[in-house]
Parts: sequence; C-alpha cells; structure tokens
Amino acid sequence: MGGRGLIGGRLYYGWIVAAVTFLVLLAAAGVRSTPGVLIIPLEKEFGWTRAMVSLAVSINLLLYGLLGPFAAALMDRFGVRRVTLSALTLVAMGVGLTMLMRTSWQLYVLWGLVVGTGTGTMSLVLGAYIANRWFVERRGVVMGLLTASTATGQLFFLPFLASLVVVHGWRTAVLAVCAVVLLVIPLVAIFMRNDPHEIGLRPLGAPADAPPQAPGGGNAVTAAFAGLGRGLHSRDFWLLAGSFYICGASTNGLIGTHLIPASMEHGIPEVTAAGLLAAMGVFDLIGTTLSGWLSDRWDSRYLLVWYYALRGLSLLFLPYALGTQFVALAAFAVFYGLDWVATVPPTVRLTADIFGKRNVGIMFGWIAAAHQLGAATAAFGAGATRTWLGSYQVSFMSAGLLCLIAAGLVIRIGATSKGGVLPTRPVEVGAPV
Amino acid sequence: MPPPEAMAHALVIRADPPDLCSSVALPRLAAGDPRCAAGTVLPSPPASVHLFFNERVQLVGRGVRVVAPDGRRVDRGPVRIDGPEVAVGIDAAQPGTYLVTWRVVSADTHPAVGTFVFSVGHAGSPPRGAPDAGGAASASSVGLLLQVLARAVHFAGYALGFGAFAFLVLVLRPLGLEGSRAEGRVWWLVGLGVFLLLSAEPIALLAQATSLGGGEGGPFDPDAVSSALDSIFGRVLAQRVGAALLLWVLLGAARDAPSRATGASARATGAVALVGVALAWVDGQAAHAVGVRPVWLGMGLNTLHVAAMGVWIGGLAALLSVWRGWETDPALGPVAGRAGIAVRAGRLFGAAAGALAVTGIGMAVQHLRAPADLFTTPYGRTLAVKLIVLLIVLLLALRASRSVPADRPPWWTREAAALLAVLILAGFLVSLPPPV
Repeated sequence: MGGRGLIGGRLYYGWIVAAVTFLVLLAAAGVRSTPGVLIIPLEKEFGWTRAMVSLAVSINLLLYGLLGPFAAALMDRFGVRRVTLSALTLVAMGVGLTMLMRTSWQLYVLWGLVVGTGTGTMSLVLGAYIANRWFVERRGVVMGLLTASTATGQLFFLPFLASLVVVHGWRTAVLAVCAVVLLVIPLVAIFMRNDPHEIGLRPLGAPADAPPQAPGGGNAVTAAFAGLGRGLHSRDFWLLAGSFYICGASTNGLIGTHLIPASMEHGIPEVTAAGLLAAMGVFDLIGTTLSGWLSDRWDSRYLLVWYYALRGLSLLFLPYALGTQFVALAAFAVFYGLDWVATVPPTVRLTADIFGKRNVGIMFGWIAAAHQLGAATAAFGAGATRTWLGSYQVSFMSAGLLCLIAAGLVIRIGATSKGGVLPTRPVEVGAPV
Repeated sequence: MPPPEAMAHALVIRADPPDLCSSVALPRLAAGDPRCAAGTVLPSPPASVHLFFNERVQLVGRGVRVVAPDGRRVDRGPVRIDGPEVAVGIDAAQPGTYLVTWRVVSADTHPAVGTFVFSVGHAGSPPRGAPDAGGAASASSVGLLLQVLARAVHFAGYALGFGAFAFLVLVLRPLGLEGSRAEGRVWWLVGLGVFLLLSAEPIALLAQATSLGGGEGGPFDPDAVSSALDSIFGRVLAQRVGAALLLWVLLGAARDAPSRATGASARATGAVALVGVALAWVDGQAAHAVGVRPVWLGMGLNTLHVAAMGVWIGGLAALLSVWRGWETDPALGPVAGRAGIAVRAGRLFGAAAGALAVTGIGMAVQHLRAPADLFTTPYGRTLAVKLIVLLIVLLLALRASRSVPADRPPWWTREAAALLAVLILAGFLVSLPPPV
C-alpha cells in the first residue's frame, strides 16, 4: 500500500473502523434476509396468512427506509459508536424474543417495529457516514465495499438460513441470526471510534490545515427535516432522489422479489432460481467495488447514465431471455448482478458534491429513503400487475423504460436553468462518456 | 373501405369444423347467405376446434373462445399452438349453434380477429356476440386509421429526432457552424422529434386494442389493451419507447458536453447514429420485412429505407429552420454564405433520395407479385399514389434549386408538405397487408 494507508508507519485506523462497519452491515443484512425463509414455517405453525406476514415485512422495509436521515442526525449528535451499539442491542433483542412469539401482533411489534428500527439505523447511511468521516482519498472504494456488504449479505445468508430451517426448524435459524448479531457487539465496543480527530488523526488524504468537522448540534429530528426541506427546494435533489427511486424499484422491488416466481413460471426450478439470486450477490460484490473505484476517477453522472441505460436495456430483453434457454437467463444474472448496487457510490459522490460533505449523511438518508419507497412500490406493483394481467412482461418492460428515464434524469444533474453547466468539480477528471 | 379480410394479415385458410362464410376456404358462401347464420351442421359434437392460418401466429390472451348456444364458454384446457395451427379442446354436449372467436397477432405484430359459427344436431339461433359484420368492419377501419396515424407520427418523430441530428453533423459541423444559434434550433427540433416518437406509442397501443377488440367493449377494452401489451406487439412497443428515451438521454449528454471537446462529441454522435439505426431496425420488426425471405435482406432494405427517409425529411426541416434564423444570427456570417449550406444539404438529400429509390424498388419487388398488383390490390394502389407524390416532391426540389436563394424557402416548404403526405402514405403501406 506504500504510504497511502499508513500513517506513521502503521495501518491507518480508518481501515479498522471500515472493517468493523463492514461486519455490522453484514450482520444487519443477514437479519433482513431472514423473513423470506420464515414465511412458510410461520404460516404452518401459527396458521397465519401470507398477507399477515408480508405486512410485518412491509413495516420493516418502510422503517428501514424512513429512518435513514434521522439516523445520520442521531450519529451526529450521539456519536456513531453509541448509536450502533444501541441499534445492535435492539435488533438482538427483537430477533431473540421472536423465539417466544405467540400471536401475530407480537410479530408486527418485534419484526416490524423493533427490528425495523434497529436495522434502519444501520443501513447504507452508516456506510456513507463512515466513508465520509474517515476518508477523502479512497472514499469511493470504501463506499463501494461497505455498500456491497449490505446487498451481498442479504443474498448470501439465504441458502444458509434456508438449510437451517429445513433441517432444524425456524427457531434454530432465528437463534443463529441472533448469535451473529451478538458476536458483532463486542467488536464495535472495542474498535469503533466516532471521528478520526478523537484519536489524533485526520481523514485519509485530507490536507493538513483542514478544520475538524464539528459535530452537528441541535435536535436530530429537526436536523433531518431541515435537510429534507433544503432538498425539496433543489432541482438536483429531485433528480437524484427520482433516479434512486427507480433504482430501488428495479432492484430490490422487482428483481429481488419477483425474479424467482417469474423464473418458476417459465419452468425453472426454485432452487436454481434462488441460486441465480445468490450468484447475483457474488457479482454484485465485484461490480460495486469496481464502481467505487471508478467513481473516484470518472464523472459520476456519466457512470450512472451507463449503469441505468444498460440496466434498462437488459430489462427490456428479459422477457426474451426467460423464453429461451437458460444461458440467456444466466447471462442476465451476471450482468444484472454487476450492476445491482453499483449505482450507490456515484450517487453518494454526487450527493456530497452538491450538498457538501457535512450534509451527506442526512441528504443521502432521504435519497436512500426514496430508494426504499421505490422498492416497496415496485414489489407491490409487480405483484398486482401479475395478478391482473397474468404475466410479468409488462412489469419488466415498464421497469426497463423507467431505468432509461433515470439515465435521462441523471445526465441533467448540475445543469443550470439557462442550459449551461455549473463549473465542474475539481476532482472530476477523465472522459465523460 | 376494402372488406375486413383484405386488411387482415393473418387469415384462417381452413377450420375444423369448417367455416363456411368468413375463412378463405373455398367453396365459400357469399356473405349474407342465410346459411351463414348456422354454419356447418354436424351430427355429433366435435372434441376440439382447429384453426389453420396462412402464416405463423401468436395468441393474444387466450386466443380462442368457443361459446355454446346458452352463452357458456366451452373451450377447455390449454390452447395448443404449433406454427400456423391453433387447436383447443371443447366440451360441447348441447345441440344448437356454437360461436368461435379468435384473436391472434402475426409475426410482424399486426392483429387479426375473426369469428365463425357451427351447429351441432340442428341449426339454432347463435349465442350473443355472433358475428356482426358491420361492427367488426368499423372496428377494424378505426383500428387501421389509428395505426396509420401512429406510424406517420412515429416516422415524423424519427425524421426530426435523427434526421435533424444528421443534418447537424453532416452539413453544419463541416462548415464550422456549430456553437451558434443555428445549432440550438436543430437541438430544439431533435427534442420535438423525441416528443413525437413518444406520443406515437399510445396511439399505436390504442390502434392495436381497437383492432383486437373487434367492436365489443369499445376502444378502451382493458382486456384488449392488456392482451396487446403482453404479446410481441408489447415488446416491440417497449423497444420503440426505449429508443426514444435513449435519444432523450443522448440529447442531455450532447447539450452537456461542449462540442469543442471533440472526444465526447464524436462518441455522442456515434451513439445517436447507433440508436437511429437500431430504431430503424426495430421498425422492421413491425413491418412486412419480417415476413420476407431471406430475412436479413428484407430487414436490411427496410432499415436503410427508414434511415434515408429520416435524413431527407429531418434534414429538410432543419434546413428550413436554420435558413429562417440566418438573418437574426450574426455568428453565421453574411447572408450570402447560406448558399454553401444549400449546396451541401442538396447533396445529402440527393444521396438519401437515391438510397430511397434503390431500397424502395427492392422492397416493391419483395412484396408485389407482379406489376399488375400496383393497380389491383389496395397495397399496390397505395404504393402507386406514393410514387406519384414522390415525383411531385422531386419536381419541387428541382424548382427550388433553380431559384435564387432568397426565393427557395417557399418551395422547400411545399416539398416538406408533400413529404409529409408521403409519410402518411407510408403509414398506410406498413399497415395494409401486401398481396399474398
């Protein structure tokens, strides 16, 4: 690593903080992927309906999205370490108590409210927060790695938990998840620090005379809403949030939820389809890290244009791929996996460029909330369309066209109303397209 | 209007039980013959209904519906489709007259619907929804007109979107006229092209749904709309909208990068050209080119034809717009310098016209069976009218080139108006079935 990651000959402490954050996000992703394997066992044991269990998942998803901006304000006020420890404890409690569940309202409270609140505080926002506090150079790479952990954990835990449920029962799977969360707590307690200045360091790559970032004072809730108000008046915020809404709709909402049933309808067995999603998780790790590296070098808007345009075109051709041999579908999985969360590092980068590094946490929190809103809309919308029309073709095509619209939205970020372009940011060098 | 079967693409050439009155099978009873109300009278109920088409088809929705005399549906099980043959099992025990309704799209996304009746035991009164020749014909006429409108708007949008851009790259840039208000006018035309491309698609969907609805349920029959979207027509529609959106994205990219950054400019130009060719190729999927053998020749000629059309019509629109704006923009130099643009544009349009002629002749050879078809079939007659209007266009262009520069715009405007008429005729050509 030469002199880059070392300060005074030792490893820069920020990498250790990043590693701990990676594990935290991985554990959170594992928690969030559990409901998928619990639905059938819970229905069988308690006689609950699909709708009832799905409602708990919906509350969870919604809280996960809406808490983001408030989480950033909380971290500003109380420090990352304290907030993360509280969230992890909350999640462990919620998950653990699930083993003693009896009635459906307990499911809503535990999985919906408690776990939703806990995981909502440990989402993409935490990754953006850490990356921006501890790194100036290599920010993109760190952001890419942290973002990848979220989605990869989700897809990686699925086979493991599914096999536990089949062999030992759902309570064992829940116990396993609880144990994973409890294992991470002491790591955070020992190694996490709020800010590089606490231990006498500067962010990696920051100039020597840069002032330390003052912790945000004031009420967390007020700060979050103030951020939203500022965003609503900014054209670029609408463009970024709109494109990220479409991103959520086309990833978690549509493919993450409905690719397996759509594949099964075309004669592909469920195990293979789940394997496709897991394979996407692997390629996602590669793609997102690569994207983080790229966003340190190229204009983020053009990166996003490429990602959204290619994603849109692949969705337009998915109906053809489903109708032919498996090879086409596998190619789609590889390609889509590479693109899955690749949009996050450039979007975070643009948020920082437009609103300033200090405000990234809160502003990206709201943009990520738009992502979850899109996911919720698409998950429900595709299901409803499937019921009404009998096939997914319209959903896939609409999502593809939406992605192309996202590409068009993103390219127009930073343009002033008179048709000119804002002075380019000093870091952006390299060819646009 | 020509009778419905002259405008349908896929036709039932044989049915089992036989269709006496609407399929192309011979001997066929004249329409209005009272026996058409009862159809073939079978001694015992058949186990299934078979339809044999003149080409490969795809089902729209369920595809085939068989209704018993008491109004119940009696088609059971999956509808089996094997190339041009469609079959479905039925559970028919009642004596009386049964009604068969079918809805398909051919390989080039054109819709076709039809009905016929057959009787078991004795002739009775047909169930509700029996063929109403008037209703079906008017629905298919409305559908045809809507489809012509959709295609014409699409071609106009294509011309403005890509043709005006070609004018910018091939005429304005070599003359060093980029960066001026002239370029701004061209970009405005490209934006209008995107808008027209996007507007054409809802009209096309409405046209398809009207043709498939067959008069029942009205033009906004949700079942017809959803079936249309779910078929190959829906996929091609999505691809056309996708190409328009890509052009919109590239429009944003082109306005963002200053054209002095030649690297980005060349890439954006290449991307727009690629999308233009791709959209022309997508158009071929919904045109008769798909049914021609060899396919690559049919699609290739069609793609070239559409692209050349775009360059000529879009370029002419851009030329008119730039010419008019010359007086107000000092950056363009003395007014006399306009002649240089006219010369270059003239050469470009000449090349486009040449390409149109060659590909047009090729396509005519592919689709017409004999020169006499030009006068006897609806498709041929439309083509003949289109050729006459094209001749008028060429005369107008010649007249324009002979005038002094100041007098040219009115002739160009007339040329553009005539080309618009050609677009509408082209819309008809794409929608009418070629002589079989």
